[in-house]
Amino acid sequence: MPFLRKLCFYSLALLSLVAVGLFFVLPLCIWLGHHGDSERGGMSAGSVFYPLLLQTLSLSALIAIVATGAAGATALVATFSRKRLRAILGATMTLPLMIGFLSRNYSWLGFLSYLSGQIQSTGPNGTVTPALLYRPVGVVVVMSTVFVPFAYFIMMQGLAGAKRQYYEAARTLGVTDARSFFAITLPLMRRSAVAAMMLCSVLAFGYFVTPRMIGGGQTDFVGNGVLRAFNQLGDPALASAIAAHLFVWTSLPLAMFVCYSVKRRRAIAGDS
Amino acid sequence: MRRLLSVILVAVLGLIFLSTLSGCTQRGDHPGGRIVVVSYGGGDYQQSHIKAFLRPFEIKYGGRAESVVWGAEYGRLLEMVRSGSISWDVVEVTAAQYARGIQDHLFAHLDSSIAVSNFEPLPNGPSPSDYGAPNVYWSTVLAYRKDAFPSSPPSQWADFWDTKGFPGPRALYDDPRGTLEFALLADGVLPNGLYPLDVDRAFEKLEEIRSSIRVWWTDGTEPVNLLLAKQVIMTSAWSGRIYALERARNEIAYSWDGAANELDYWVVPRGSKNVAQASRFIAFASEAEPMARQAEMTAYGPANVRAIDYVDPQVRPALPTESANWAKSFVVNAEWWEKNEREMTERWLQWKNR
Repeated sequence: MPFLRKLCFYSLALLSLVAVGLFFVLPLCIWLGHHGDSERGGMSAGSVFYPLLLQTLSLSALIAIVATGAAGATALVATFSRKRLRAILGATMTLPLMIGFLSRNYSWLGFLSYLSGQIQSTGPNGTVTPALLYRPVGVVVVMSTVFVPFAYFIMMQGLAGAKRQYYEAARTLGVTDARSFFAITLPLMRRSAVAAMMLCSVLAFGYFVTPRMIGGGQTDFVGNGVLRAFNQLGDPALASAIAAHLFVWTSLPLAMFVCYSVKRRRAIAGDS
Repeated sequence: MRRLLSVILVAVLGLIFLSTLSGCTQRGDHPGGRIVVVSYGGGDYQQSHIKAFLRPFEIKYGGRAESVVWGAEYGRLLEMVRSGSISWDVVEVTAAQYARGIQDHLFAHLDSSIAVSNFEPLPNGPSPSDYGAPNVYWSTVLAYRKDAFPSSPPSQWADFWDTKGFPGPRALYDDPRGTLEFALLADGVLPNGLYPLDVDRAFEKLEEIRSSIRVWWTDGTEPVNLLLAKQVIMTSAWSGRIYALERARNEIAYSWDGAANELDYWVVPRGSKNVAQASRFIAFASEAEPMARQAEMTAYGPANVRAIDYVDPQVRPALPTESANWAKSFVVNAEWWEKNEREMTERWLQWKNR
């Protein structure tokens, strides 16, 4: 009976995925690929928006990696520090969240403009060359800063399992601190790092104001495409299709993480 | 205690209910009712509408005229009318959208009992019709910092494309309308030979300048701020935005050579419940004196020639409709854009996202 139950559960899940894929995702991709191309001399809506999707995915992944890396480093420092420093770091991590409620993009615009002036990078004819403003790297930096608090608190949860006894035991066995880091700390961080990256990339997918303001129109995300499709083209069907793509792509990392967690849990249950 | 709390709760709910009711009765299709007027662009332009049109209209007819802003997103207006949920009463649309909107039955018939008086169009210019009234001629010009080019400033779009003779980052409007024309002018096409646009040629020309474009601006205040902050040396910009800001007038110059003139219209979305009051507003805003007041704040050309008599003589040289400026510029062809705007917008997005 337990075997049958497991079989039904996983088969059902698989069947649902196949059904969604066959009757929703695939037709959506085909429709987007050919939408209106007969009217527009061979230029399909997909050729307009798939590059945008690719740009969004790659930048979101990069933002997730940077945010998780920064948060992981901060979480490590916080975990192995005294209580006071840990409290200060925790409070500092909430600052980007607070700023996010106020005027984050305008603050960054002002800050990056000021920074470019201080760096004194003067371009031709007296122009001020912005260090980060209106560049894709600026978008990555700003958005990573926004997501660092989310990644930080997830990583702290992962590192909560890093007990002092493990390191003491390792030391008594003659293991160096560096080896302890790779053998104990990193494996503990791995799952929370994966969760943090998934969350950050999913959050980043949906952004469109920050890429527009900080990117200067060079790094539009899919959300900008949805806005254009709806507002300028007056094509709500196209806007919905793009938004549905966004949903699929944000669900994919989530689904991957769930599969990973289930597999891990089964492995642990199997071992014990 | 519980009874007191119940009484307070009922009183609060009643107040909320009454306030919504009073809001409903105030917004109405009669003199003294409330209307929502939508301006194409915010900032100083919106303020000029408020000061020249909305507040004087309120004084003359009573009631309240609220000002909101939109970015001329045709799809938004289309969906609003299709859904029947009309929250705007008067909308400022471009000439291409005016033509398209009439085809798509987006606009209501203006109230025929409320006529636009004292209106004289420009030579070959449009007059008010059943669906709307022309408002203002506005221009997209080549703007640059005065101190960047003290000796030989850029004067035409070929200079904008000349990255060796005029090195430095640039900005352009993130829209094909106007920008494609500038590319063709830079490639040697004469203004009277622009239409129908050679789109392939325009995109090829744009590809040459692509790497020098630092910002694709979407809001009218952006190019002015970019020039003032020295982030770019040259940009396309709406002339009125430069004129409206004193600091901008001192630090920024612009050329009328190859400037793109466009006409905006006042229309009433089909399904609006305040057609009479909206028609009243449009008639008022089309009169010579209010148009002159607005022109003095923005230096945009009033579509009503009689308004020029009321405009301060010091402002007249800055108007797009001034003969010297008009001769050097061109009018964006509304009919061509009405047919091709959608395709051009998609091609634009495809080109930008490559």
